[in-house]
Amino acid sequence: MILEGKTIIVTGGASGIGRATCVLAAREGASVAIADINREMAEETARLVEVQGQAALVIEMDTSKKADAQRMVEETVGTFGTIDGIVCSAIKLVPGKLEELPEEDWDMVMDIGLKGYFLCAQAAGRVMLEKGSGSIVFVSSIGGVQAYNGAGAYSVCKAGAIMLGQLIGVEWGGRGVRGNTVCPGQVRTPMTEAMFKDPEIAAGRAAVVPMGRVGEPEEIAEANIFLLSDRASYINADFMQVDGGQAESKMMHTPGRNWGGKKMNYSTSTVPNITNKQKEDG
Amino acid sequence: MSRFSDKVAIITGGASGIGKKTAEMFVEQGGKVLIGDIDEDAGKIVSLEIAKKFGKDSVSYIYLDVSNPEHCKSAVDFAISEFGSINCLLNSAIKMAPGMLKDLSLKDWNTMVNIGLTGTFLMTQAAGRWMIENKTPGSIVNMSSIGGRQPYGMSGAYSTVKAAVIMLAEHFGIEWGGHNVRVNSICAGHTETPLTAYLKDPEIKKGRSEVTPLQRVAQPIDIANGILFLFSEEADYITATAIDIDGGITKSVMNHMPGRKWK
Repeated sequence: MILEGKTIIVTGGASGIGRATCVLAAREGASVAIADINREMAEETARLVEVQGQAALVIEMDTSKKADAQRMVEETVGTFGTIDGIVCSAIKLVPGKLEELPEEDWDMVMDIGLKGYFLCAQAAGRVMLEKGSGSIVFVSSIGGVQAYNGAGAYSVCKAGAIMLGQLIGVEWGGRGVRGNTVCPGQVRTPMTEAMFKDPEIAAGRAAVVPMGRVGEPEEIAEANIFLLSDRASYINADFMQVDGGQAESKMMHTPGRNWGGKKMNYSTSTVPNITNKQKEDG
Repeated sequence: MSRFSDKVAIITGGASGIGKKTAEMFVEQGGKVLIGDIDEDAGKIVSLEIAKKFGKDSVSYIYLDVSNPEHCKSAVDFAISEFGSINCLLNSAIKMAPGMLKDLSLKDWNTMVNIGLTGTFLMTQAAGRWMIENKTPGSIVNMSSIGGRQPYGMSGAYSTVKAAVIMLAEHFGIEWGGHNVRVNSICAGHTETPLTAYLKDPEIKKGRSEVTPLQRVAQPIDIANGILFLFSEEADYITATAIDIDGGITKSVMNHMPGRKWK
């Protein structure tokens, strides 16, 4: 067990990648604080942690509020005595076209997905800096390295998270607190289920990934756990793409080529043209 | 006074495509150019065409195999004897030897690495040495590609070579910054040239246009404009970097996600 005896906080731990991270952290021997705005779902995650034989603490909170972030740290330290690591994954999707995006939608995504990461990392980081060890992991997205059109502030927020993770690594690495970011590709979670339940979309989205499938929350969580653990003791200020190769797959989508015998010919005659489809969507 | 008055450029692979267009425009904007190419017929024809338009003192051709160090030194010597100086170099010579890596022959690997990478090193070194020894500020541009930013499957050594020339330019750039010899790369997107004859297929051209955010493939002039910018004094503070001229395609992976129906 690579997190034995450690205390880990996971924001957005009620579902999806956050929940999977809680469960795997427990599997690896950690006590887990589950921070989420959705108490009911967070309680479910707590049961899953306890099934692994580890202690769970549910903290109902809004990650974009400084007072909540402070309370998250106080409750965690009060219950478990310390903090060894935090995974920030809380986000809210508010899609939209830039020309129409309302200010409040922009603010909501940035408040939760970027300011929230900062506030939670800062509050937990102070505890870890004081004891001179710890690991901070941000869940970003390949949308943070590739412009994700139609997703409102999401890509900008996720790009910011990568830089914040690097900044933490640079500022705090010398004091024993590492900062890193994981960039998941497409993952089937409650947040993305609305899209993936359409079999045509699910098949199409799998086909654009070099590995031919979308990811599972546990596959992202494994990367989070690795970065939390001492196995990653020299990894700092880095970001890791966990995406089946998708972020580097642009050239797969060049029409007029047959890819690797997989007959993935992206000519417009065989695959619905995405640009036009998006126009229809709009 | 025009943009490249008294400036001399060597352009490898200058007999066709992006190299040819850059040569024409460089001369049109007042410069003198030495076209180096392994295709003797095409090189002489381009040279004659430019001479006819802009005067025979503005252009010359030399048979050049960039993978041969003697050829590279000769090209530099020839440019000096013809025009008296070298201020700019475009490394655009390349030969395609596509294939899947699993089956790629050593010969095909070596062809692309020798011409695309070693040739770029040899020419840059030869021209840069002259610039440094003669205290002549210079600008050197390596022709890279979106294939140097993202792996271009089935292209043999192409992507690896194109990624490497970006680093090579950065490395030369930091080494020679103090000599005011700037070295940069241009990463071209899908561009209509003799090298990309498949773009003549209207279906392929349409498809590739549609996957490009700007909705069209590039013409050689689009790329040449970027090269000439880096050659010019407008780019005096730009070194050791790479510029994408690709209509946005390198950043458009997420465009290819089926079912972007958010609401």
